[in-house]
Amino acid sequence: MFTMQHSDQGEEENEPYYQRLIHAGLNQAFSVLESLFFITLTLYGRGRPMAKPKFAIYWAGSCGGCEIAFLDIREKILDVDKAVDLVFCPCIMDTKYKDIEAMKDGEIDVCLFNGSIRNEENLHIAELLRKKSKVMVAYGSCATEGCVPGLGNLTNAEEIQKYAFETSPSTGNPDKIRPRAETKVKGGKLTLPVMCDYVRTLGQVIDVDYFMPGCPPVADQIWAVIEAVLTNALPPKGSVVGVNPKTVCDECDREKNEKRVKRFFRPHEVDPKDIDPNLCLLEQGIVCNGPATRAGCGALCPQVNLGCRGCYGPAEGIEDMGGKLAGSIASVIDSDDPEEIERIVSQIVDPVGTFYRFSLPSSILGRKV
Amino acid sequence: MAEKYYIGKAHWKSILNTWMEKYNVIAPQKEHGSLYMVPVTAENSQTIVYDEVRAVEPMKHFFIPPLTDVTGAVKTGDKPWLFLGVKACGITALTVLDQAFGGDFTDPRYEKLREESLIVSTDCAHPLETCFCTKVGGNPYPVKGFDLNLSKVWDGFVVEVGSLRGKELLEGHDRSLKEVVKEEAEALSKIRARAVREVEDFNRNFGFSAESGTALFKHYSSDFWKKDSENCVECGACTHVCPTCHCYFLDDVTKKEFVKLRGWDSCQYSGYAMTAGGGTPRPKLAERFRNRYLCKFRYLPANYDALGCTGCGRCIAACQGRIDMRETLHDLK
Repeated sequence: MFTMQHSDQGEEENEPYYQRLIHAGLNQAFSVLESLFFITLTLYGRGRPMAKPKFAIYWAGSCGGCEIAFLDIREKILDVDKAVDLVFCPCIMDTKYKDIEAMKDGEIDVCLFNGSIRNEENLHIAELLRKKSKVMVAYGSCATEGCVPGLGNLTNAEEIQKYAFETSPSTGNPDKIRPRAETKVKGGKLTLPVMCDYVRTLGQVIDVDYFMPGCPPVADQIWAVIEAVLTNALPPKGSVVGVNPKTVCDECDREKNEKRVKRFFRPHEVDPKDIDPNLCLLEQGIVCNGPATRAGCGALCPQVNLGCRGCYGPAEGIEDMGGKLAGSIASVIDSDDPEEIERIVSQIVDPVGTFYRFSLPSSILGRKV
Repeated sequence: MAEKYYIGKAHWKSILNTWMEKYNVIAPQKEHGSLYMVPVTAENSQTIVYDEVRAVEPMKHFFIPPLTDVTGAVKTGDKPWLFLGVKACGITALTVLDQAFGGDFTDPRYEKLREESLIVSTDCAHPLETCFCTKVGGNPYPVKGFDLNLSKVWDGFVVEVGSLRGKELLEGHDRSLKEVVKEEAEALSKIRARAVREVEDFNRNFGFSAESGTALFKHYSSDFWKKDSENCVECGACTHVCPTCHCYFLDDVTKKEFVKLRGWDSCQYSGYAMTAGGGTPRPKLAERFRNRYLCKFRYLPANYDALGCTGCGRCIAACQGRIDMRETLHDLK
C-alpha cells in the first residue's frame, strides 16, 4: 500500500532527496517485516493449519484387495500424496504399532479401516486407531458388512482350526500341532494373536463415522470419498459414503421383463456364448443379487455376464440382505408344483454363500450360536 | 442362576418391542446432558442410553412418589412397569427400601408396585466424578437383585439372568440368544474393570470406607459437623434425590372426602419431627446435617442390615452449597 502511492515515476523524481531516502528506508523496513512475518507464519504453521491432513490405512481380517483398490485410482494417487500425509499403512509402509501408540489422541485425521475383526490383534488395533483418529471410515465390505471372512461365522474358531490343522484332506499334521498364543523359544517367547470365535464388522466393535462398502470399493467412489474428506464436504456421521441410492438393478442397462425362471445356473454351468448380453441375467436363470444390492459400482459384474454378487451390501431399507434375496429369488420361480419348486431351488447349491456372501456377520443370522 | 447370553443389535430391537407390548418400559434418555427415566415409546426407543451412568431421579421416585394419596384401594397402571437401565446403586437402594416398606409392617402400595414391576439393570460405562460406589462396598455393575442385567459389549449385550421372571422375559427369543464367547467375556471384564478404575480414580483423595462410616458415632461431638454444614441452605435436595432416604409425612386433607396424603419429608428441614408446642429434637443446623450421615452409616445398618449410602453421588451433584459428602466422611474417618 505504501509503495502504491509512489508508483508515479515523475512525481518520485521531483521528490527531495531526503524524502526519497525516507521512503526507500520505510519500504525496505516493510519488506523485511513482511518476510519476517511470513517466516514466522511458516515456522509456527508447521503441524498446524498448513500441515497436510494425516491419513492411515489399516488392514485387519481382509485379503488386501482394498489397498490395491486404493492404488487403483491411478495417477490420482499423486494428488492424494500432495494433499495428505500417509502416516500408517502396513501394506506399503513399515510403521510400527508403537509409533501409533505414541501419537496423540485424534492426531490422525482420517483412518480408512478395511478388514473384519477376525482376531484379537484386529480388535486391539481397531480400538487403538479409533482413539487416535478423528474420522474413522469402515472401508470396504469386510469392515462394513463382514464380507467373505464373515462366512466363517457358520462355524467357529475351534472348528475352523480343527479343519485347517487336523482334518482337512491336504493336511499332514500327525502331532496335531496348532498355533499357540505363546510359544517359548530360546531367548524369549513368541506371541501370536488369538483367533476370535466369530467374525465381527468394524461397526460392531467400535464407533464408526462412515461406511464405504464394496469388495473392493470401485476407484471412482474411493476418489469421491477422498475428495469429500479433503474439501471437508462430509455427510452426517453414520452415513454410507461412496454409494448411490437405489439398487444395482437401477444401474444395470439390461432389459428387464417379468421374470419366470425354470432353472438356475451356476456361473460355470452356462456357456458365455449362450447368454443374451442385453437381457436381465436373472431372467436367464443366472442368480444375480442385484435386486437387493446397494448401487455404486456401476453394475460392473452384470456388464460382463456375471450375476451381481452383492458386495455393496444391502440397499437402503433392507435389514437382512439374504432374507430379502431369498424372497426375491423365490418369487421368480415359474412353477406351482411343490416337487418341481424343490428341484429348482436345489439348483442353488449354497444359499447362505450366495445370498449372505458379503453380509453374514451384520445380518440377523449373525453367527452360529 | 448365572445364565449368560449374548444378544446382537438386530435381535435386541425385536426383544424390546415385545417387552413394550406387555410392559410400561421406563428407560434413561439423555436430556440437557443428564439422564432421565422416561417411558419408552416407538419414537424414542432408538435413543435409550444403555451404558453411561445412573439417571437423575432415584428409583424411589416410582415406588414412593413425592406425593401419594394413600387412602382407598391400591391403584396401579394398566401395564406393569419394566425398568430398563437401572444401575447397581439403584438396586442396592431398593434393598434398603424393601426393608423399610416391607419387613414387619408392609406398605401395600410399595409392595404391590415392587412385586409386579421388573428390573432390567445395566452396567455403568462412564461413571460421573460424583460417583463413589466402590468406596461403600458397591460396584459400577450389578451383581444381584435384578431380573435381567444387560452389559453393553460392542453393539450388543451380554445378558445375565437374575431371576425366574427375568428368564420369562426372554421366553420366545431362544433364537436371539447366542452363547457368550471368550472375546465377549474378555471385552466385558475389560469394560467393567475400566469403570471400576474410573470410579477409584475420582475418589483417589478420599480416605474413607464403609467401615469408617459405620464408626462415625465416635465423632458425634466433632467440630467438623459445624464446619462442613456452613454452606448448607437447608433446601433438602440431598435427601430428596437420595435413593435410600424414605422419611415421609402424612397429611390429612378433608375436601368432599377424606384424603390422606403421603409426601417426602427431609431431616434437613427445621420442621422435621417437630412436636406440638414447637419442640424439635435437632434445633441446630449442624445437628440436622449430622443426622443424615449418622442415619446412612449408623442407624440404617443397625436396623436394616444394609448401608444407607449407595455411593451414587446424587446428593453431591444436587447440593446448592457444593457440599461434598465424601469430604465430610474423609474429615471424620
